[in-house]
Amino acid sequence: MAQPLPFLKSLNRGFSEFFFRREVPYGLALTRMCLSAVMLCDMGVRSPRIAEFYSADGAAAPIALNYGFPDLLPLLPATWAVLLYCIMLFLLFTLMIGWKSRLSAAGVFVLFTYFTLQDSLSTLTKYSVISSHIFLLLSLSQCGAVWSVDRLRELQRQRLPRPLSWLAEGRAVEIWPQRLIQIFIAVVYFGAAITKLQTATYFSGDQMRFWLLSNVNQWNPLGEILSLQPALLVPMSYIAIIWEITFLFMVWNKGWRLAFLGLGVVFHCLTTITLGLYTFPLVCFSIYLSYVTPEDVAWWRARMGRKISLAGRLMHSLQLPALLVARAVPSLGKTGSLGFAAGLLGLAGLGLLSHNTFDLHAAHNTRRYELQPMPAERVRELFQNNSTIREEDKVFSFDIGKYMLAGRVVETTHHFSAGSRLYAQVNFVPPHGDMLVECQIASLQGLVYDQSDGVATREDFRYTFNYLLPESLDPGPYQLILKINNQEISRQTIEVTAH
Amino acid sequence: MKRIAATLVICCYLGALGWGVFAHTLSVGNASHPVMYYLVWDMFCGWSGYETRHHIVAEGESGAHYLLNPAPWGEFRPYGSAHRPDYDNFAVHSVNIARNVLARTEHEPIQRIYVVEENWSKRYNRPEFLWKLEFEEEMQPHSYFHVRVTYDGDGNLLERKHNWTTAMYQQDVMQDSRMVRLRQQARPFLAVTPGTAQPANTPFIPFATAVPNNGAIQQTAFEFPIQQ
Repeated sequence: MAQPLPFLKSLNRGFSEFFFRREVPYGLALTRMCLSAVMLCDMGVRSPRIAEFYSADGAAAPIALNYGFPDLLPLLPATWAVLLYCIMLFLLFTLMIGWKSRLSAAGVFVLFTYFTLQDSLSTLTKYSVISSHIFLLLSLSQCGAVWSVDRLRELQRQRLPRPLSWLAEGRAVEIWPQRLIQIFIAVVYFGAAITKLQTATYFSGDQMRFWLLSNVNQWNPLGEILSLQPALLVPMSYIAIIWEITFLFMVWNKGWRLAFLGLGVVFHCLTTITLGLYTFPLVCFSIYLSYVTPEDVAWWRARMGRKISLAGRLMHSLQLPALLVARAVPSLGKTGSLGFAAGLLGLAGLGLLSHNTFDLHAAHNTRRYELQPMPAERVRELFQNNSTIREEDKVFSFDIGKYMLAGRVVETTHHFSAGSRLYAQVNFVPPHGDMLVECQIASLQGLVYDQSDGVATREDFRYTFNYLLPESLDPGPYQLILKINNQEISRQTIEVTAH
Repeated sequence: MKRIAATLVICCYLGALGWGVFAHTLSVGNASHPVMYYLVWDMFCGWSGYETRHHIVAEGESGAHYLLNPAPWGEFRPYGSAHRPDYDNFAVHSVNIARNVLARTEHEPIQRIYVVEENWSKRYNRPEFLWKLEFEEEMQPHSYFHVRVTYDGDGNLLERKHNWTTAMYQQDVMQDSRMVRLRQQARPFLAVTPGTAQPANTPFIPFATAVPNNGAIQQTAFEFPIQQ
């Protein structure tokens, strides 16, 4: 009988070592707890709207309709939707504390995916899709093998004298579901990088600039400020895409793992303060925790044990509430399957009751709302059907500066010496059609010293006028006047000093 | 046996992720089924230069108009200041929102339902203090309105148009005299208007308009002022 090739043997050994090594799944447990908590809040705030968003009695918005599959999943009547939604919330809680972890994860996966699919307007996003993947993988894993009610119950069943002290003592399991979670997030970044590679305007910073000024996400004041300096966006865009591509290959390296995860934390924190994304980073951070290894936990315990630093002492003091919670939680577990079922049905019943009592959607209210006619002026405004764009709305910015970086004017000053370089760059808002772009240099009294023009075609995002101010130019204030299709749009005052 | 099953799961899962990346990269079946939404990572797939909001308007028999959003019981803001209907980018689900509001309110018989887009340039999304840093002129925000979809009183589709930015882009192209001439020569004679007989829930996803970036830089020669 032929022996397998050494290469195949080594591949098999590598595969087994990577996916089937047995270790205590601390990372998986952290992901389970954090992701469940995040999604519990995210879905919890939508709970007063269950009938409206997710039932046949409301205004559901199934994503399947966008893809041309209107009958892919049935829409449930409001009562059933409320019942199942409450069950999902309960299972998210039990998954968080690790009570019947696998069952909870499986239930959450099915119900969470179902409900998110039924509301593509306000529930389904890429972070909910990512969460669905993780819930699926958690349901395949033994994520309750450590830091869970399940584990404490297991230890209690073994009649060990002080089970709480073994809170951190987990059971070693095969880590392949944890590996799949780690690979998954890396593939998400890789796919996101491909999207950016296919988007030419990503690399010029144009799309990012518009995104920074979008008001469809949460408050993002830094984004608005950053949009003033588009030249900064270009290097940031390159760094982000390089990180996204290399993450899949580098995060397995022990030396690079922390750097790549740290860069990920910085990246997602920046999306919060510049783009107003709040939940997405929390989901990603939860998944990052799956990279925590038993060695990391051992290192942390040793550090906590020494209590040498202020941070260490602070973290140690935080253990007290955690221990109190840990003492309370096992009593839930003691109730067993009966308690689990009772909790599940109790919450579902409570949800149904509150739905019937405090129904925002007014499905069961006897009082009906009355529509009020709109003022005629507002109706005229809404039905204008505008088909001509004002010239000034085609201009996003008119930047004046001495330097250019990545094709963008770096606007640092409005003071120029005679004989120096001056760039006047007009950035456009698409769509804008073909335009005659004109730039004049004039004195404050309106005497035109120079007039340059050109055509910006409909594809252009910007047009740059490149001046070399003559050394003989008289010092004093001048104005750069921008005209689009012969209409004056903007003026920028500059100060010219002697050479 | 357990190991084989686990290996199979690993291979299937990684295969599915790999297929998603492949489909997305080469645009092969990347929008063929809702499942693909779970495998394609197209975040940052395009951002408009215009901020958009949706107004759902019902027209009664008397000619009076009624605004259906925000709903009388309040509107949900899922991710920021925008309301839920504002995220209906393809204007596919707004009719369900309209039907839902109409079913739960007192009103005269309704003849038409309109989904009206409001668009304004994102240059006006700058706060006042940033505007003053950027421009010497006063901020004069302006909104553009566009009836995107029209339904009859029962929510049956009557007319659907591209979103406003795509419509503007196409209008620019179509106004070219050569294009006008070619279009006149190419246009067939149609006895019916296509699209009017579509059922209300027919999905319609307009093509996205790609706007390539081509930043022209013009060298200018400085000229001495002409004595006037």
